Amino acid sequence: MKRKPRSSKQTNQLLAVLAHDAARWRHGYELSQQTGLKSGTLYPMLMRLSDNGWLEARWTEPEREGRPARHEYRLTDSGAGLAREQGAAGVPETGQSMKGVVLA
Amino acid sequence: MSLAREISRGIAAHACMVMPRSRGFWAAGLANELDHIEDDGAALRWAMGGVVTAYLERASAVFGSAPVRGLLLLPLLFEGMQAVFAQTMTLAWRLGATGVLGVMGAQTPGDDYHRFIPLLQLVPDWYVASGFVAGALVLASAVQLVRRRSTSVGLFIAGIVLGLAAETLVHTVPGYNEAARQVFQFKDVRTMRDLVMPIATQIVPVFIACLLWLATRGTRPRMGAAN
Repeated sequence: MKRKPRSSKQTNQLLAVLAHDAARWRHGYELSQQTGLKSGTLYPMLMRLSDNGWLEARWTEPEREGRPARHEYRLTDSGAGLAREQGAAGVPETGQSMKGVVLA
Repeated sequence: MSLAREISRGIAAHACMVMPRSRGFWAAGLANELDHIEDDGAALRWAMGGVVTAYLERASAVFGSAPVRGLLLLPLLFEGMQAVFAQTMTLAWRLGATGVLGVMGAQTPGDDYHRFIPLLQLVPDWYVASGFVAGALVLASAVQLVRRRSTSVGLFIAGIVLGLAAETLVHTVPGYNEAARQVFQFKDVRTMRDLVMPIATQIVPVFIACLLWLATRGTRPRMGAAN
C-alpha cells in the first residue's frame, strides 16, 4: 500500500519550483535563488529526491568558456507526480523568488 | 582572484574531500557551481553550505552503518531501562515482589531498596504509567533505529520529554519533596554520584538524540517514501 508522503515547507518550495515547467533543467544556484534555500539545505534535499528516483541530474557544458561543467536537475515523471500530490502547483513565474511561499 | 573567492574554493575543495565517495557526483556539482556565482560573498556562503552538507553526509554514512547503529542501541536501551527503573520498583513494591525489589535496590546508591519505601508509597499511578509509556517510546525508537528510520529520533525525544515531565510533575505530589530529600540525602559527598552522574543524566539524552539523527537522516527523506 502506498504511504502518503509528508513534506516540509522547504521541500514543497523546491518541488514547486521544479514542477513549474518540469521539463526544464535547472542549475543548483538557480534553484537556490528561486527557492531561497541555502546550499546546505538545498543539496541534501536534491540528494534525497534523487535517491528516491524523483529527480534526475546530469552534467552540462558551461555557457561561458573557461568555466567548469555544471550540474542540472529536473523532476522525473514520478517526481512530477509527487509534486502534484503535494500540491506544488500554481507556482509563480520562473525567476520569481519562492521565498516565504507556503504551499498546502 | 579575491581572498574571499580563494577561501570559497578552499572550502569547496575540502567539502569534496569530506563528502563520502558515493556522493562524489554531488560534491563536484556543488563545488563547480561556485565558478558560476558572481558575488564573492554569495560564493563564500555557498561553499560554507557545501562543507556543512559534506560533513553531515559523512557523519550519516558513519553513524548509519549497521555496526555503529548496533553500538548506538546500547545507550538507547540503557535510557529505556532508566525510564522504567523507578516505575518498575514502584510496581514491584505494590505487588509485593520483594525479590525484584532486592535486586533492583542493589543497583542503586546505598545498595538497598528499603530507603526508597517512603517514595514508593507516595508516587501516584500516573507517574508509574508515564514511566512505562516513556520506556515503550524509547524501545520503539530502538526498533526504528535498527530499521534505520528517522522516526527513531522523534520517538526517543518523546520518551525522554515524557519522562522528564513526569519527574517534574511528581514533585507537586504532597509530601514527595520531603520524602525525596530523605531518600537521596547522603552523609558523604561523592563527585561521581552527586555531581557527574546528575549532569551526565541530562546531557547524555541530548547527545544520543543527535547521534540518532545522524544515523537515520536521509534514509527516509522528509518526503516519506513513494512506495
